[in-house]
Amino acid sequence: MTRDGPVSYGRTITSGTESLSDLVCQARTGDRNAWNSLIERLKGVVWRVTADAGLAIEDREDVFAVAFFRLFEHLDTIREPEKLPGWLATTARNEVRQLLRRKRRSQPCSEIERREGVDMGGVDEALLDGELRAALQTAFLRLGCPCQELLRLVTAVPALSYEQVSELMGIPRGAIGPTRKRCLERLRQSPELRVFVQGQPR
Amino acid sequence: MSEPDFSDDDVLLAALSEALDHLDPVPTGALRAASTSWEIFHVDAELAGLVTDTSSDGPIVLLREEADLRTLTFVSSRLTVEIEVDGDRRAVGVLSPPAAMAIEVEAASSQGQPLTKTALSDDLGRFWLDLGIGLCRLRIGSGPDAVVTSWFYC
Repeated sequence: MTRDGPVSYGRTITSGTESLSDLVCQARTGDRNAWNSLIERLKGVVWRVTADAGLAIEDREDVFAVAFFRLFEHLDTIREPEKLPGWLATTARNEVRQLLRRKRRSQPCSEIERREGVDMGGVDEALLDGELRAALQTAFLRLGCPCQELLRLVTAVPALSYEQVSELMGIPRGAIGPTRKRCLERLRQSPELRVFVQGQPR
Repeated sequence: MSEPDFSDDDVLLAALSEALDHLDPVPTGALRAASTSWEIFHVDAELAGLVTDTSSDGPIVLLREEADLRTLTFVSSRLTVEIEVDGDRRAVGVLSPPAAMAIEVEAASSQGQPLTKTALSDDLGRFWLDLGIGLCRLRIGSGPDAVVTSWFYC
């Protein structure tokens, strides 16, 4: 599944074939398109990390922007570009915590707003039909908070390692696999998805 | 479109990934804000980075935090900027070396503009600001010698 669809914020984006390492090198030498491509490539990971703290959308946008500002500030010191998704996820999580401290509150795992159809810039060509997608979304929103957080992180693109997910969630690495399995099973058992799983569409 | 086989974990995860992208897409405004960091570094200003701290767990943090008062220190090759912000977001700052300079507050977020847009430091490098809510930074001086701070939460 390709993640380098068109963006709608007015910048040319290079195609999705370059490695993160290439993009970092190009951005260092002053290639703005490469910088925008890096954002495009890594945006999903950062955005998902901001979803679980009960932050308002405006605060999530701030955290998102700050995470990329930090990346920009550190562009010259990155040694292992393949670790960028994890580094950015950790950076975004730290920014979330700092913002929560500022606001002196913590409201982990509140439900995210449904914003389907709003601002869809950069989301890929659909692989799913609308009905199936809506069923998945409703089933997902029925899940408890820990399952939502875990599934958000393990479906991020580029993928985060189990070590990174473990660190972000504060649960042992060995618990990720079994928890993932349990959460997926719960998803399948939801009334919305059961029909699809049993091979009786519609 | 044929029905995907959701009894397969990988198929279900891939479908969920797409569904979540649609449920909670990255707002265009956030992408644009992230992209603008480029202009700062490549056009006209030197960065004064926020100095790391002694007390908190994140890599980018506050030096000191007491009650409702926090101190942030930004350092560039030519200038150090220290500001103290109270609970009402009133900030007292000092530049070193001391200099009378124009200071501009820039807001990155959609959350509200700072009450103070511009200020002047006095001969001792001191200045006063009313900051807004959300993400902001200071631009000190203008033209090729300008310095901008890292973004910080007001």
